[in-house]
Amino acid sequence: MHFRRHGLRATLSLAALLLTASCGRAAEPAQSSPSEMESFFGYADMIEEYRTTLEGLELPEGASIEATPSVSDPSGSYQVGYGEVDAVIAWNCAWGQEWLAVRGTSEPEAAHALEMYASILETAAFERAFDDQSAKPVVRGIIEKAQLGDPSGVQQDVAANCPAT
Amino acid sequence: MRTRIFRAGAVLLLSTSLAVSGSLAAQAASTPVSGTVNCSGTRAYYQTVRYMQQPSLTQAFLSQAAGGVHSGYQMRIGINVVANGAFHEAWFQSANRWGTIQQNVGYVSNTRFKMNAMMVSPSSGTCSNSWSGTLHY
Repeated sequence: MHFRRHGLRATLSLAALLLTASCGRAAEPAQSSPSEMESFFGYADMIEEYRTTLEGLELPEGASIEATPSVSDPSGSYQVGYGEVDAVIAWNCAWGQEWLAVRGTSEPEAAHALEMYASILETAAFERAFDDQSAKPVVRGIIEKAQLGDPSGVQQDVAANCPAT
Repeated sequence: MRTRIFRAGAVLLLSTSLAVSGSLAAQAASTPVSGTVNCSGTRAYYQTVRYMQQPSLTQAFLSQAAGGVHSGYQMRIGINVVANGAFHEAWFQSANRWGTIQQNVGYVSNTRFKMNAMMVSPSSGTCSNSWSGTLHY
């Protein structure tokens, strides 16, 4: 399956909707403050969340993203938001790869690609699910280096964390 | 804590505090982790994304195990690498044990991963589905 472009705003709205929808799925009584609680759903719902999230995301021209996340355990329970997070990561990978491909050849395209790559910082998935200590500072550092013209962080990130193109 | 499991899953208590055991990126990070699993024994996958700080070794110490009186308190706690789905896990025979989730697999610093957990044996009757511990990564 191939996912194509819409806007980041639509994505953020979708994420908010998914989050709102998830509030009705809480499966357990509160054991701590509401902010620490999340609910789970099954594999099919996780895949649907992944695909729905991707459908609301703008992708580079010609980019192709896997139709399912890398984990495929039909019997598992997935935290609500799991598919959304994987979709945002796949989308971010696509823009990182695009920036590396077009930088030095087309300044407008490179600027747009970097802008899209950096916009992961604005997503609900990043804010909610990226670990404050080990993940968020790394992502912010990579983006800051890239915005200063240093591609090494994006190169390392794509090599370690993105499917080969 | 005794809880009743629902078909769709369970509640995760996400750890929000994390202490880094050092100031160098190459040193391992250490964070409290906790969550709930299914008493049916199926695996629960958590959404939090972490980046390996010490990619040669990922370990966990299980402080509190999920389980039941009849089924026991054995657990599997694992990680899955986001890029390719590679899966690693440690088997804990009970609480208060260390487990090595992966060692010298060849990952590089800042490899993304998520966590998962399950009870080794399905529980019949009432079970405690909460677990907690510390992750070193």
